[in-house]
Amino acid sequence: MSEPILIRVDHARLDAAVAPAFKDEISARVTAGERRVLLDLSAVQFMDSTGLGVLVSLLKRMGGDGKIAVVGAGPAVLKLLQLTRLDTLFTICGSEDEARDALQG
Amino acid sequence: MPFRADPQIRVPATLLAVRDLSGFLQKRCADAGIDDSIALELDLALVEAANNIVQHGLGPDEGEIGLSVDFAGTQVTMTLSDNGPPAPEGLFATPAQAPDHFAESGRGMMIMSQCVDSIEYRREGDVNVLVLKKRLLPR
Repeated sequence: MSEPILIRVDHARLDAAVAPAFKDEISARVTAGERRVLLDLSAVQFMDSTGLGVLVSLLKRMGGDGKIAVVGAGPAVLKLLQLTRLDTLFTICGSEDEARDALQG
Repeated sequence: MPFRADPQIRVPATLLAVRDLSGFLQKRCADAGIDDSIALELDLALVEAANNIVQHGLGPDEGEIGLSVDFAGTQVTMTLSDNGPPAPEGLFATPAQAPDHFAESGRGMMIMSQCVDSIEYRREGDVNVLVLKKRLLPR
């Protein structure tokens, strides 16, 4: 199985102000047919529902068997994922190795 | 300027300027020694409310958003004001519902209601006033 696409998000705030540009960025990285993405959110200190919506749109674009593993989620990102109960939609991992293992499954 | 309230900060009604409101809140919380987890919930509620004002009320560059953050006893009150059109009737009266897991939008109201203890909306003349209150003690 090929390596998942690794996307390191470099926006400190993944909010409505950058959401359209961020959506374009990841759309360019994740081509049609890709099914596994490792998303590094270490640099993200705050995310709002619009930023989260972009991650959902990415998952939808990957199709029914698409899978996104998230690493580096800080307190603000984790809080939003828990509040919205989307922590069940994405695979939250403590390290890249753990994420790669999760994406293999 | 038609504002009746006297906000502590006013910013243009743009998504980028919402960050300035967030920065103001964070400084007020730091100065008041507010716990990080409480400050984060306040920030989430504020940003979602201000985003809604920009995206569903005022159009881009059409007006201003005011914010005051007041601490009194064990409660913090965030008062947002804007000169956009009135909010749809009943918008804040019904409990916010969680959208479908795969919905790409529509979570703002739910996040607001989970992060603060009360949300009050009123129209004062031609100004919208949204008051978000949160207890500072653990729930």
